[in-house]
Amino acid sequence: MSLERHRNILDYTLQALLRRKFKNIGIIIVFTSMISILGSIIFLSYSFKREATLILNASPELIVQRVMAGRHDLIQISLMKDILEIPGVRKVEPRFWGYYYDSLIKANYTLIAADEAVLRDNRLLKGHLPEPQEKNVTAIGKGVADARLLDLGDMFSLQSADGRWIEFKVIGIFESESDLLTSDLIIISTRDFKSLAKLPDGMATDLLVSVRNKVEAPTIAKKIKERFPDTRPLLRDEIIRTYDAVFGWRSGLILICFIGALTAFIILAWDKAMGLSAEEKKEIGILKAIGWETSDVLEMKFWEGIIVSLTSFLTGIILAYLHVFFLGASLFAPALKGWSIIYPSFRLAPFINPYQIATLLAITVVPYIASTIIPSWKVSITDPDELMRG
Amino acid sequence: MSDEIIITENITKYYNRGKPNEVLAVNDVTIRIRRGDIAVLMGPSGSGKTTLLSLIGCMSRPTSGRVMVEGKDVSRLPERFLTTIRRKTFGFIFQLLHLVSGVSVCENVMLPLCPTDTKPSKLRKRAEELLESLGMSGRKDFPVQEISGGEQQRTAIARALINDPDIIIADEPTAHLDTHLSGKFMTIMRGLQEKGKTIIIATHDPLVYEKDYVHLIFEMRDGMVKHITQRNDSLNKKVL
Repeated sequence: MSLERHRNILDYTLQALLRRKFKNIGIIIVFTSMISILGSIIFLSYSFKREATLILNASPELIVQRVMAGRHDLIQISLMKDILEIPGVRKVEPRFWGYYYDSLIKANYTLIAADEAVLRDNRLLKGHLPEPQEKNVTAIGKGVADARLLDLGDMFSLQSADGRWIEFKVIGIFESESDLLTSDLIIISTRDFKSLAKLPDGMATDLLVSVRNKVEAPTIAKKIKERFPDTRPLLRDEIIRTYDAVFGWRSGLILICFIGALTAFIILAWDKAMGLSAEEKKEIGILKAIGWETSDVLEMKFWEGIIVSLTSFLTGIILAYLHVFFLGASLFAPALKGWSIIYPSFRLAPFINPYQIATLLAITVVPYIASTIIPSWKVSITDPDELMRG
Repeated sequence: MSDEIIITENITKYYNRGKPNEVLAVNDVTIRIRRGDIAVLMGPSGSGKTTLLSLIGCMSRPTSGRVMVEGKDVSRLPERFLTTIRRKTFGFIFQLLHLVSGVSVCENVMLPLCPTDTKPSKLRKRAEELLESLGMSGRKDFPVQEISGGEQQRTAIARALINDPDIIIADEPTAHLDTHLSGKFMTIMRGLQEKGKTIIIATHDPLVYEKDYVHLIFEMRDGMVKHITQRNDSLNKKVL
């Protein structure tokens, strides 16, 4: 069978679509909206999960925190020695970090003392990172720099725990593979951190524990818990799972908010699947009467379904992509990020999971084509005389 | 070898069989039409003319009986075979014309051969030639809903001829035409008959069935053929 037949049928199909252009435009608009909403939710939650995974992949297998009345408290640095004695532990480092609320731009920053891990994972755009003992200097994430209009050499004030304003000179601006990690990050020297936070001597925010064999991490965590009951060892994998669950839960919540639009789309597809209009039935009757076979009619309907659904799908995906990765997902980001909406704004790196796109295609385009073809098949096997009588 | 191109044997057609609105549209009809004849099915509305045409033209199946087209029994063929027969053997001019609205005259004419391997350019050329032969070349790109009734009629004729069928079926072709156009229509049919086509027309218009070149007249009433008149070029005799 040559291509001419398919070309002729496709040509007729395009004309048929144009003849019912208002109806088809309406379907495309609804379909595209659905796909762009679903696509945005998928892109956003997947990108956040991916970002979070990137951050956590670089972190050690265990983070040990001290818990007081169920809340995170400072931990004694002296515990490092005891933890090092547990078989399988390779290294223990204290970490000094906290949050800082900037009332000027209503943003939360993450404040961290310069250490080896920080230096390892970041790429400097300009300048350099502070040395652990360096005074009154800071390196900031690109998000902070953009939000506060800071550049190298500028002064940046932070208020200490006892109310004093301390000035820091910006000596470095950096970014890392994940904007989520560094966009709101402020790095100062360990000495400055302790001074700013009024941290008691011998205390740290938490301890980072690296193990020789990551399979042993849960066992080591258990031993730490047994030895120090007031601590809370956090496994990296557990944190990743928690992120997954939170983002999955939140994206599900957003989906529920759009249930109205989803319902409208389902009703539309159901209405299509239930049957053709009298005009469409008559047209099929005429085509059958003048010599079109059932397979020709079905091929026409297939093209019709493919053109409408693929156009809508591709447009929806492109809109979703632009919405999430160029417009900052302004519609959904607050719901997905949660408390972190008071971050300085940052742009997600485009992470697209082809499996999810394929799934979205399978649950939207395929049913739509089926809902176009099945009622047409039922009609096209009817005698043309009956169809034309109405 | 018989030159009877259409034979129906005791065909009956019920609509809505077994339901309260059951209708017996055609009742035990046997007719024979020779190749090259102009045959007319005559009768009032509701006499079964359109149903008989649709049975002959393989657009519906008889409830009982046989329909033979070019010697082949088509009564119980699967739909896909009937479609091929319709496309290759028949050209239809429907009572309501059934042109596809929104599509141009030329594209309506091309429709029967769309799902074939004919190149679009060849298909278009053939359509344009047909339209020119019917005096429609100036309207070929007009949407069909924007042309007159007579022009639509000629478009329907061109569509019926695009596949060069052996048998042309016309259902009440002059119902919406004035005397002049009705005469023109019959002239076209006569011309086709002279080229060897078989023409079957359902009508109650005397301007059609009184033409002396009509070979067969089947008078129908209540779904049955009550009377058959057979004429040849020099003889006019009643049969039955």
